[in-house]
Amino acid sequence: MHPAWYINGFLAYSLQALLFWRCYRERLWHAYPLFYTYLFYTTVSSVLQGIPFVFKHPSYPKLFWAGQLFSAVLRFGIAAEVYRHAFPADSKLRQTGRFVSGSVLTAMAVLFLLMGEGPATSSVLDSLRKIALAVAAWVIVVLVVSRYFEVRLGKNIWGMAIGLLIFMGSELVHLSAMDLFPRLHVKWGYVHPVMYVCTLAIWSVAMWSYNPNPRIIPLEESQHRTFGAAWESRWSTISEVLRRIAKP
Amino acid sequence: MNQLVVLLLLGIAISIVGLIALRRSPPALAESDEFASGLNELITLRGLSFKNFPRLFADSDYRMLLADPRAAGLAEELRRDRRRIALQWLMALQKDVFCLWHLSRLLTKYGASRGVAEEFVTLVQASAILVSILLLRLLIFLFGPFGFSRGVSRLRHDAQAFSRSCGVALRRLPEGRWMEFLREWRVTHPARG
Repeated sequence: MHPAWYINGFLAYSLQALLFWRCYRERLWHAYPLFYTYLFYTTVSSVLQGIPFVFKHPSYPKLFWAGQLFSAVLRFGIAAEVYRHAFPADSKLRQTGRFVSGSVLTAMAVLFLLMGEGPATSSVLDSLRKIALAVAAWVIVVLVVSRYFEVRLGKNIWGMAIGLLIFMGSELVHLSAMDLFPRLHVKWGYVHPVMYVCTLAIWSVAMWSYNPNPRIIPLEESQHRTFGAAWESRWSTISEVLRRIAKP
Repeated sequence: MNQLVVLLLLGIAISIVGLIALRRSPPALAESDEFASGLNELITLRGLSFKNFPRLFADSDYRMLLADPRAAGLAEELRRDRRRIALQWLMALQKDVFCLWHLSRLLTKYGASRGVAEEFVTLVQASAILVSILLLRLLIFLFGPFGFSRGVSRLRHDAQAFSRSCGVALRRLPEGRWMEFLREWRVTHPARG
């Protein structure tokens, strides 16, 4: 194996360790349990895959693909994390977010159903591609809707979403090239693990400290009155100043 | 075959969208509002909550009035008013910093500190802000508020950073000591707490 892969692997393990350390220090687990479940699973599985006894076992290929499938499903958890923080339970936009996300995901499911099984060498590969696309679509929909309604996203959720999006894009290219262009697959095989490390780096920066979405605090009636009075008072001052300038 | 080509192209497009989005900051940075709200439940930071301070130190109105010889008196009145308000605001900011410093020391007492190094940083940070406030108050008293907007902006930024660090420390307070901490805080700060 080329030394670059050892460096890449070392970086991935280091960044995962860093993420868990920050999670522990900042108590981020409570805020983002689905994200850390995915991270925990991928870390454990990558450690297991590095043990010679495991990858030399005859049933390893079957377990590997089953693990990949499970990991892909867990990525829905990260998308759900982005969604539930962008549109929390007390948000007025929750219904809208749910409707748009639900519509897009349902439309995709219907489309996949109509298209039938893709021209893949295995159904697992086909499922992985469709899951990756659905996850990316969900994240994009949440980001677009939150942008449209000017929902302020915190650094945590923003980094989580963008990191996942970049990785999902790379995953789609990687999985599609497997069946489409074997030569591209070989070349993208070098890029994809680096993209995963980049994703981990983005997450490490984003999840360094607890930085949630700012709360939307509605104005109370008393505040409405105070602001109204302040505005009227300023307005009368302006007219007074103008009057004094015009007629000193 | 076509399906795979579409998926491949979508993959490339998604990666590009992600990379472009990465270059942009979040739609709006949270600026640790959570910490600020946690702090706001404990103390009222009157100086820091005043957001329109650049307007207070901007001299555009003053210059506009000064341009008209008939409004020169009014301009002078405006300058005096602004100086008075600026000094009052700096006083409020000074009280905020003292209050935050006290909160920080109390948090240390209740086990929210990360060690001597952090305490030293807090000490230096708070002292530097207070010295800057005193210096600015003196300068504004002597020369008026206009011309110090950059210094004031930096000062407020530093005070905001100090407030955030107190907010972060507040989150580290052991859960079992919250009630005890709150009781002592309310005894020492009955008016603000």
